[in-house]
Amino acid sequence: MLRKWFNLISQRISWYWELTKGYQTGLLLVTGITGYISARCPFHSWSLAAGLIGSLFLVISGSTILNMVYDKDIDMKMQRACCRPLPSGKISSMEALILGVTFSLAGLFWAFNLSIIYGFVVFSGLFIDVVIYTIWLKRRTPWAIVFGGISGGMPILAGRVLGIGDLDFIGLLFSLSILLWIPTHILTFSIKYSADYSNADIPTFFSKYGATKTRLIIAVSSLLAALSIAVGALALGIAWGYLRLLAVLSIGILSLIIASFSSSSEKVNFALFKYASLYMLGAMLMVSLGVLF
Amino acid sequence: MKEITKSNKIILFFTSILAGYEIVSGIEGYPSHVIILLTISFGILLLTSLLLIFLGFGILEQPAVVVIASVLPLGISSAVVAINFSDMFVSYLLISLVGFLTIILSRFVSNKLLAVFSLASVHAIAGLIIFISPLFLYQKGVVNTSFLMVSLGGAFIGLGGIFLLLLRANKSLFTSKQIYSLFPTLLFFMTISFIIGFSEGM
Repeated sequence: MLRKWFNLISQRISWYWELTKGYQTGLLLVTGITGYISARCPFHSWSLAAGLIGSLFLVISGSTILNMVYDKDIDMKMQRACCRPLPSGKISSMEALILGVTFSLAGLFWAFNLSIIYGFVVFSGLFIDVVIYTIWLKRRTPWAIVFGGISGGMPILAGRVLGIGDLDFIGLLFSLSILLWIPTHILTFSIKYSADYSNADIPTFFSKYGATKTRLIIAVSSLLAALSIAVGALALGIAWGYLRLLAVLSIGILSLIIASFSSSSEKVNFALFKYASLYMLGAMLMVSLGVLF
Repeated sequence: MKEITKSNKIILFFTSILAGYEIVSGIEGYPSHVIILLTISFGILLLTSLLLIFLGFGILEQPAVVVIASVLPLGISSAVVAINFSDMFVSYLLISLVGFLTIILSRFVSNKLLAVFSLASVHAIAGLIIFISPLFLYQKGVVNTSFLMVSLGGAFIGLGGIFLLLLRANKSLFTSKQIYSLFPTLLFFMTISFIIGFSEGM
């Protein structure tokens, strides 16, 4: 009997985990932690660090779950998303909605308790992601990804704001770097799954402007993202060693973009998608280590 | 056999971590021009490892990769010259640049022999410098034992280059599957050898 209950609960937790898109949430959480570390705040304040991680995790997961609830009909039409817990019927929309709202409210309450300005930045990220990006623009225009990018840049800004207690140029620059990185992430993905997006009637740059213009946007935004991170890292005064590695990683992403222009192959495009995630993770790691050591 | 096995992906991942570590902190004590050369060389090792993980062994057959790969021996050999034979550094750097330009230009001419010859001669000269200089310097007592690892790294580069060249010429004793499956291990040991050689050898 106990075993049966245990199995049921662990199954539910694994579905909930799937709803939060653990990998994407994890990457955004890393950017938030980097923003916090970049403030060079006294790291003995473990309660503040735990508060940042906890509140950001809850709000990012909450907004992801709310997006999934709203996008259930789209996911049902997409081959790559139709097996998710919501479109496959493993979890009801009401259950997911309650979970998403609970996570979001709990995270926001925690965030505002830590600092009003931090709470406001976290709330802005949630609002832009769920209301402006998902509910208002995603089904109307491919330019919606700009707002997806702005909300993606909020965790790093929030971390920085919590660390220094105010908005500053470096925080905005790091936030801009995430905003500029998002097209590489989303557009390469939308090229790979263009048929899925077309089935679900979601406008993408690829379907509206074609492959060449989409790749051009990816190239320009990646270049600007790499520059923003580099300028931010320079402004923080991190050691040259980390800047050198950052430069090498940036050359890697630019090489893949050039390769995707010349070959247009599916494999290179998806390699660029995967490398872009690794690049962002690496860049965040370089900034964090560069500040700490 | 262009796909990479999981174990080879793990080896390549560790290779990239090691190369990244070397770029960040392993070459800090050298003059700035040596740091630039070693950053380029270890950067190529790092990016090659990551691209192999994402794209598979097929990239080794791309003409652009052949050209970029030649920067590795040129960068390492230039660093060896800059550290130990500083008088000859500028001349060697010029020769290296001319060699590199010849490799690039030879890709645009239809004469295949010229392309192979330029590639082979640049690799041979750079390879010999990487392999022989540390032995010579050790014998003179200029460097310590660890710097001999640079020679070993040079031997690994040479071995990898010969395997790939023979494979391309269809004259290899081994199958492409055997050579490709060995390549990540070769890259890993090459990276470790250069790291020990440049970090501990001076």
